Amino acid sequence: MNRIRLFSTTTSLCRAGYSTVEPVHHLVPIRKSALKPGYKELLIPKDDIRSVGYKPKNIQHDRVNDYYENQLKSDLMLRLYEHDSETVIGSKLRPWETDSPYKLYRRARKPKGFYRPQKDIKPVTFKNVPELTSISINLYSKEALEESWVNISTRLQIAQITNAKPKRIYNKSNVLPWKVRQGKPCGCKVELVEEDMTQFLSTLTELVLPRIRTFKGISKKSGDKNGNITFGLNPDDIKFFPEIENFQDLYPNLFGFHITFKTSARTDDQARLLLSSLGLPFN
Amino acid sequence: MVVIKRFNSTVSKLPTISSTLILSRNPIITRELPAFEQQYYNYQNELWKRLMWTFPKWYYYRDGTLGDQRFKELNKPPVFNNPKLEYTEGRPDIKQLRDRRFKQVINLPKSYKQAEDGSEIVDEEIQDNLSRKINPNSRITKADESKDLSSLERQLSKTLYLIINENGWKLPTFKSDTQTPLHKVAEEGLFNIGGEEINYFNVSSKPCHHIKGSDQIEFFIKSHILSGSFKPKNLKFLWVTKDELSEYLNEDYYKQIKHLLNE
Repeated sequence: MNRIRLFSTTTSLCRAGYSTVEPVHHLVPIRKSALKPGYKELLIPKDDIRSVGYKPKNIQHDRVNDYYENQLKSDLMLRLYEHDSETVIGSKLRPWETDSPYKLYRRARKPKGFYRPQKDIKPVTFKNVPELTSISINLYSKEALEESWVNISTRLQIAQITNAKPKRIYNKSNVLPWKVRQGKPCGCKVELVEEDMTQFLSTLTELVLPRIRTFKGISKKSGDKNGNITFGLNPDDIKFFPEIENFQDLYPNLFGFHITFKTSARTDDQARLLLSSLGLPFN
Repeated sequence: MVVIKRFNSTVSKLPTISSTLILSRNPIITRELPAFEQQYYNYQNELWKRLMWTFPKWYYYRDGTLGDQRFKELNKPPVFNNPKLEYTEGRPDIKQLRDRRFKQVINLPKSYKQAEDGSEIVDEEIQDNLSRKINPNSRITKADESKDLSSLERQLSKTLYLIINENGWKLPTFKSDTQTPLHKVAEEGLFNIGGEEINYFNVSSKPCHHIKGSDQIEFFIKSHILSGSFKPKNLKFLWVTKDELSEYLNEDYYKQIKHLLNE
């Protein structure tokens, strides 16, 4: 931390005379080492071809996106269109009445039946046809709590399946009977968008799910009321991913994970309609 | 509140309502990419391969295994960077058995027997072996070659629409009594003219479009054929693409409905 001027030193007292310039108080520390010319390459944004971390996009024709844009979108709009429909206002924070001076600066009450204000549900038009925005994968592994090297294989497994680099996740709290300690790595997560997302979706619907014998479909109860649907895969199901299936001896331990389909739909019903039209069965 | 409008006796004739079915067969294979788009994808793909990390051979083909032996037969190691030599085409930059000046090309062992030129050696005895080479079917079908417009197996990469010939080519249209819902009228009409061997999916009970004439209103019901076939008695019919549809329909009429159709 290099501050421009330190007032704790007494050298100025030793000097003859005093400065007429107003002292500058640098409250923001400046890390001068980060401004080295050698680091200049790292400042280039990653979508620039000169950047070290550049990864080309649109490497192949995206047929899932093509299907959505050309076939599904218009059908979904027609299916979800309702005559004379109006915006359904979600329950919001309730302000206090003005009948008492004690209520004057109170914080507003929670919405009825919810902890936080709910979003409005707008009628579906050509502007807001539900679409799949991202797929989020979350892997929590209990084994990684006991043996920390296990977390390497969890990340390797997810990176193999998804073609994206997963982030480590850490425990947030201490629960001693579960051997959960704060700050301990306990799995990984990754958020897939665009090509990676559609590639993962087509692998899942065409190669993996049809071969899982016990799979009856995603539960109809799944959903967070905001159009995001989650389901889980067991460690036994993971071996049907082609990246893992052909090299089974390289993966002695497999890990199940949760998959969340994040959609721009406002309700779970709309999200289910979208996902089932993309080839995911519901039970 | 219900508002009852009373019409004058001079305009008492109510418009006749009809339900038109836009029955389509969705594309079965991916669309034909334009040359420019194809070149763009090829360029990006080659760039991606050039910038890819070195293939972790040490992970997939462990030293001393059978797979390692097969891998070494197919992939010769790059030219050794000898410090005592001068190289006319630049000094090799070798890391992990890869010359980092170029993109890495890897030949993987195939699951089938391969000839010198890369083509498959077909073994007559094991034809339905799972490890055989995968050859995609042709994008052009028999119906395309014989120009059979009434076949559902033509133009696999495009959407097909059903048109019938009743005093000229048109989309199947059915007159509605005011009691039955529009999509039911379309369904019954379709089964009447084309038999019950058709399995179709009605997108919605709401019409997707309407055309108002002087004494009639035409509503459009959108649906897809999923399986089965359209087999009418004594009725000419065609399955045509959007482009071909403009040749068969009235020009004004086509202009009014063209935004409803997919390529």
